[in-house]
Amino acid sequence: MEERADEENGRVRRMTWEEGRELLDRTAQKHLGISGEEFIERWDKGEYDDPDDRTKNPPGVMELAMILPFVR
Amino acid sequence: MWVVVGTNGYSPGQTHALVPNLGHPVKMRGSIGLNLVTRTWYRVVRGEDDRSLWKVAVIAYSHRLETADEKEIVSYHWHPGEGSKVVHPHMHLGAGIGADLGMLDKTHIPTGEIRLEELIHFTIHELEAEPQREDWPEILSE
Repeated sequence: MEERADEENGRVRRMTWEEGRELLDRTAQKHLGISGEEFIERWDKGEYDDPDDRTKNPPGVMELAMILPFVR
Repeated sequence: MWVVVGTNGYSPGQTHALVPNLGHPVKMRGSIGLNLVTRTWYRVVRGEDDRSLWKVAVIAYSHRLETADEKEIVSYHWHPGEGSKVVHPHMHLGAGIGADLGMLDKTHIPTGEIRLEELIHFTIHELEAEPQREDWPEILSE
């Protein structure tokens, strides 16, 4: 069973699910001009292959790939 | 305000992600006008022996310095096990440098591990970012 989280601990708090999705959406818009949802669809189809290969992908795909597991 | 993404931020056995400013660029005051975008992934692990305290082990990071209009100047990455073939610490140079980089902006330039506090020290000491407190060297060295 997952431990319940403190919502806030000093100056660090847990990001809400909505804030996490907003972060993904904002990052996808900034780097790719698409929504977070569309990024997830493309990611799941394997469109990005190596996310940090900048000969194929724009900068930012790696960052999105690293955020993704936390906001699904 | 720092936030942890998706987890409680302290449970052992999980990977946690720490980001400042809800993931928005941190605008650094100073003559140049820089943004810092940083994400740190870590795990909480026991020390080497039974008497050791728990400690934070950084397992991946992405630190990016941008221009004020959010063009990448330089990014420091380390992301083993995140789907990329590049598993060593490296840096990227970006369009925010303001020069023709040729193929350099597609490459992964090897580095050692870059700690966030080193990058912040660099921005204050050499890029004239304004620290928010006078004791910043002590804070960064803690």
